[in-house]
Amino acid sequence: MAEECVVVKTAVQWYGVSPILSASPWMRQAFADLSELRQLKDNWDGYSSPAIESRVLEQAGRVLSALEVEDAPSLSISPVPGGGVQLEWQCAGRELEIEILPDCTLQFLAVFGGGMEEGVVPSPSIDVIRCLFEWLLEG
Amino acid sequence: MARTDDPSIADEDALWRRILAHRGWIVRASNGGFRPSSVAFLDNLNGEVSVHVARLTTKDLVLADYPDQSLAEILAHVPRSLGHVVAFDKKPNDLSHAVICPPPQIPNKRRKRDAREMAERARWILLQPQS
Repeated sequence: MAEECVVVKTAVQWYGVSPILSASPWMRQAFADLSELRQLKDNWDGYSSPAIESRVLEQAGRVLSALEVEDAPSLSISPVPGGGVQLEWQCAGRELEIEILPDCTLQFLAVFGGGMEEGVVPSPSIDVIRCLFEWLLEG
Repeated sequence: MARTDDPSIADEDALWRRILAHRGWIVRASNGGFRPSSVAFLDNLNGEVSVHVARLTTKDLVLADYPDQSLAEILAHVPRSLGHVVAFDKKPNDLSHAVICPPPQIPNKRRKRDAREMAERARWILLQPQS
């Protein structure tokens, strides 16, 4: 399939593709930001970080695709030293960080008021990701 | 081999960390200003976060090859208070180079939280203009 695609999923598994042209504006921007990270070369941070592997970027794309919302809070997508990617949202006093590690496992940090909750997302669990995002939006 | 904490780095020593000129690395702080993202204090290779002991270098030296990057500072007692080791890792061309190392058995529920804590307690030495 020649055109650029985003991954879509069922309730319990990632599968299939859909044209990115049908994605919401925030998601298109997010995929553009992810695409930029492909350009990072070894030592991109000046502290010897390796380039980010394609499979990590693809996993980040799967996480984003799991969020079936038209509008989303402002999203920051960051390269993580050592070869990961972090997705970071702030919304009305709540913050959510989802990190895709080099082995494609997911960790999250939820920040609220004076508290923080950290955990591992069973891979690949769409339900958990959606639940985290719903928590963020309820802020 | 696990590193051991280096007492020649005092708790009050300032540790400088370059902050990438990437929009995701500088985020809004709860006070309305900017702070480094927690990613600045994470490492997925061996967990060691590179820093520079401020009293042994200068802002210009640290940023010499990275003129577009910002520079943040935390005091050594911050990572130590979280159970991290602070140790010199001197390089031939940089005797100020040191590392912040997580505890050997850092639990999954601490890794990102500690990085976030360090990011929130960092202060800017140089914050490049944000677009």
